[in-house]
Amino acid sequence: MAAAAGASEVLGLKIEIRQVTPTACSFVVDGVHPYFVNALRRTLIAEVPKLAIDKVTFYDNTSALFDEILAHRIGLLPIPTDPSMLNMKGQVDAEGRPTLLVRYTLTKEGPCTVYSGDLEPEDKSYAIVDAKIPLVELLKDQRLILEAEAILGDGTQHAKWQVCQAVGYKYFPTATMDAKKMKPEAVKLAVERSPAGILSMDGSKLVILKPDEVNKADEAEKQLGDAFKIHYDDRKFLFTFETDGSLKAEDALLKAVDLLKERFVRFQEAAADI
Amino acid sequence: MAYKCGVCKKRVEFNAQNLGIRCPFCGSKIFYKERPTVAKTLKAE
Repeated sequence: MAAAAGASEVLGLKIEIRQVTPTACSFVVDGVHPYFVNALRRTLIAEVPKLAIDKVTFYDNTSALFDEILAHRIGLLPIPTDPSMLNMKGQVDAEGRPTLLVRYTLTKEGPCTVYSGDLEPEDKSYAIVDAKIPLVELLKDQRLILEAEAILGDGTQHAKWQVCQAVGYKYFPTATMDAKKMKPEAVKLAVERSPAGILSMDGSKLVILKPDEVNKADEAEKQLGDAFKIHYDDRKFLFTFETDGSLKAEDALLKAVDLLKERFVRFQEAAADI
Repeated sequence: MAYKCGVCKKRVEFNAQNLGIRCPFCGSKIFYKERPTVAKTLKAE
């Protein structure tokens, strides 16, 4: 698991990366309005393209699941996608077939469980990200033979082309404390009744261990009254998202930013013609 | 139309006009429709 942290500032906008792993990312954006981060959130959810299986040809299926259910399950499998090929979405050749098309085959006979890893791609680099996703259980003498084709698409077409999950942001919380007004018994109760690891006591003093999560310590506000107040900054946001593994979190974020930028440029050009 | 008997597993043919179908081998009244041998292409959605 790789982790990175750093901050950069451009035109009053400050970004501080908190954590980046291959499938998750969190960062703090400072100096922007909520609609800016919301645009980024919506772009990450629906517009970053990826590969997903779109057509399944069944030659034999004597399993307990209908062809349609199996096709649906296969469609949702995460396929590793090369970020440099994302611009090929929607491109077709002279015969009208998608320029980027990945084929898979599957042949299994029971008794066994068919997993995502049993789908064999024509190019090993397109092997399903998680090989242990169960598709169907085959009993004795049951067979499943199929071919599948994956193409590029985005979340506006179908959820199977949605790269990012759990995309969200929150107003950055800060807490103000007045140590003179705090009673030791109330501080003790505040620490005990708040989620573990956010607040702590140093002697009779209250210490905030996780400033990013201090909004969860609302019980401390009740216990300490005016001595402890939680505030929310509406120009600073803690943004988090995860990917299904088809794209790295970093690549998904860069693609989303590119898409937003492209849209604003197009808007600027259209506005210039008015 | 071809069906498979649910009890003796033998393949039996029926005319759609038949009333009161019954397996000629074991007398069972449970049948499974056999899957056609043609490929079937579906959209994964």
